[in-house]
Amino acid sequence: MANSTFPLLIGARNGSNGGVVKALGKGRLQHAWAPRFWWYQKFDIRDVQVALDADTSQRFDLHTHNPDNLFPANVKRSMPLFFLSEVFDGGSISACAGILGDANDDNGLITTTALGQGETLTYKASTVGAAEYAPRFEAAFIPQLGLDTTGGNISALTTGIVWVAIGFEPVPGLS
Amino acid sequence: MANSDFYRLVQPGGLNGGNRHMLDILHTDAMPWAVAPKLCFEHTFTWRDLRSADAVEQEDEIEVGGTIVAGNHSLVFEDASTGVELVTLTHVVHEDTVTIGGTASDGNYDTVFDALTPPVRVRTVRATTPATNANIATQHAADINDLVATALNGIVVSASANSAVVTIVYADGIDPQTLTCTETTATGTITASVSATASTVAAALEALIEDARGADEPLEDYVDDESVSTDTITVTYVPGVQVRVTEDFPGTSTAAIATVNTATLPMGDDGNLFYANVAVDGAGILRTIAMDGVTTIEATVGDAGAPAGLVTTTDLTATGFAETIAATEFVEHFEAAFSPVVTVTADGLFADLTAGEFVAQVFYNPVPNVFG
Repeated sequence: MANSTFPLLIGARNGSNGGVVKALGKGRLQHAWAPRFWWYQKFDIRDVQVALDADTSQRFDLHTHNPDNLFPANVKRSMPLFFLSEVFDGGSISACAGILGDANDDNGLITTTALGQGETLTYKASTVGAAEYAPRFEAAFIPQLGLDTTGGNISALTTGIVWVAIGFEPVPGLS
Repeated sequence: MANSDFYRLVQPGGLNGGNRHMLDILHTDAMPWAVAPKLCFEHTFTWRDLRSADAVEQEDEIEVGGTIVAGNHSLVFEDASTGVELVTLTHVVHEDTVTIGGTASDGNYDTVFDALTPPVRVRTVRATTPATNANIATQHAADINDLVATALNGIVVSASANSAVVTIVYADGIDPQTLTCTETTATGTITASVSATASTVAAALEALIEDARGADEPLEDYVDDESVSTDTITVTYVPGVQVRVTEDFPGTSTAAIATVNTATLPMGDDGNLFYANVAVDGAGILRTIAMDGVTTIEATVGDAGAPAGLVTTTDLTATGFAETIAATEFVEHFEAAFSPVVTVTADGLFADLTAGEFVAQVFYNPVPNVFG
């Protein structure tokens, strides 16, 4: 059986984008629309809800960090991203690295990425080789940010802001 | 703490109003997450873009081979865009060698120019004198020279001997000569050969090309460099030009010419640049009209650092959409400043293309950029 041709013109500047929005609004496309969304959360070391460890390594459950911004359930999780807004520094700490994953794989999305002294305040390069980088369905993903310091403990950090963003696409729910 | 269900807010669906509800929710800002539509940055290229590409780079390999014979060995260079001949470079092979070998014996040593009408025979008789092969060669050269003014007039200009080898020098511009050498002795031998080889012809032509690309010479604005290795000449051209090279070699002398054209084509233009700080999410080439006019023509998509990072070598003589899932940068990833380029390579001249069109497409997702 042959595939049917997509019923709308998809193009750049010929008005087709408007046509797509209209078709979505009027229910003319028979398939579910699953746009890309970004879940994103600001992590400010000064605002964490748990005590900072007297250790050079600590993992932060981002649902605990902000219970009002939970990662949605039952979605297709995709690309992760760090945006460094303020370097992580304090005391005698000479370097600080961040990772992103969950409780099962703490660097499954973003492997070691420098967030400390001297780092540029900008988006950080993707780590496409991370073990769970490839998009996948997640029933209940709880993002976990990890910090590792050199020269001092996590508890010595006095500055540091990183925005964590994770893309996702909804999947059709059961009617 | 349980994750919130996405579809408590909206349930994606097709004909059940879910899509419309999604749009309504987005308008109200009730959605806590940032929506980022997947977009496609695309650029259409046609065969005409390749024919006139400023960034065309051409390299030719000219392999001299076959059995080298005497005569004019020419390479003709033509501006492929205009059809105007630039220059014809000719190396004349006009030397044959005749070698006296074996044990010198009494008898007749004949060299016959059998392509002439009538054939011309040069006979050297050994009867004790001349005694050695070298002596026979010296006498044979003298016997040839005796006919330069008569039967070989306009064909041979001179003959000389060095040890047991006679070298015959022909007049410029003559057709290739065929020599048949025979002797009527039991142990003596006489053989003919052309002194030039594929390597010497290649070297001579390479030197002519080098001269022709000098200041105020015909190839000055066309040829950037040339080199020779054994029997193969490599010519690289000034970027932006396309040159058609043809050979005119005599007899069994051969020249195989392999031309490669490569164009690096930036996607977009001043009014349509790829955005900074986005997530590049795959790419493809939509081949709408098959390229025609050359045997092999292929394209890749990437950037200057990785020209095939998004789409690896893809045949443009076919049609349809092509993607390379295994390309090194196919997986969605952040790019701060990405400048996509398409690299097209053909085994002939872009100037010979007669049809073809493809659309290079790079997909991307905007990323959050509102940090309060």
